[in-house]
Amino acid sequence: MNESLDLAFAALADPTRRAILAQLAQGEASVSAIAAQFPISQPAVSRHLRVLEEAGLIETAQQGQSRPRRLKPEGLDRAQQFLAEMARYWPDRLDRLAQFLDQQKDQP
Amino acid sequence: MTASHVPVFTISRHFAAPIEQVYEAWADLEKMVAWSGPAGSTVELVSGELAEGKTSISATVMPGVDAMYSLCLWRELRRPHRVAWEQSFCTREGEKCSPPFFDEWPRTLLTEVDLAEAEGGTMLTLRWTPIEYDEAGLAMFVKQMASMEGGWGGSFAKLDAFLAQG
Repeated sequence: MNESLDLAFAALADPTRRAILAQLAQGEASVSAIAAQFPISQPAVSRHLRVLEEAGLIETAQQGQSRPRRLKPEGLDRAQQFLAEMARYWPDRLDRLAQFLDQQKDQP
Repeated sequence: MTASHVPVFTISRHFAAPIEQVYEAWADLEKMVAWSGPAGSTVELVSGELAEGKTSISATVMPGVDAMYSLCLWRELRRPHRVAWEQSFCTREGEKCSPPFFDEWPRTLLTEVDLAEAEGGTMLTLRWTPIEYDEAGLAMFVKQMASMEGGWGGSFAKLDAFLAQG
């Protein structure tokens, strides 16, 4: 596995960083707009953004005075998406199982 | 590499549901397909059946991505305590293959789900063991599973020894 893929997986291992990526998937956003979505400080968000940028998953745009962050589509290719999915495989599925069992409980 | 070096991924979860109901969620195909795919996906049976000693081929369909096919050999169905099966990625026709987009992954994984009544609900323990693999696939498995919650079963000394082999 190459080094950039290693960095990408290290970056994706963190739930806050995955949530930031999910937010940026909706469109580019400023650091303060991203920070407003999370119960952590702006410097902490900036650190997460730096990790994501170093991993090649996001990039910084230059628009006059503002520097919004946006997804770097080529950074999240299908191989990476697939492996990120594998790393969440059982936790995600057991969450879904818990929801499924809850729904069954509600049924008459 | 000897079998004792194969890493086993273990995850446990308590469910506030009776053991029979949790067992059915795994062993009843209709129920299993309702929850077992990734979020946003649907899982469909292509052929075969979920029965001890039988195989099944199922498709996971997600928007914008080619369907992924899984071949399962159902090893053990012991109501209401245990379900164990071998699982591989496969073609629609059931021929084992690499996962989509990536070569480095164990060819076949054994999944063992053990259930026990606990605290008015059910404690589930799941073990995931590569049983058909090459070195690169196993190394990728170790790396990916290390980032999952739950942690590794067995001795960390063994895992360390395995990782030290590079």
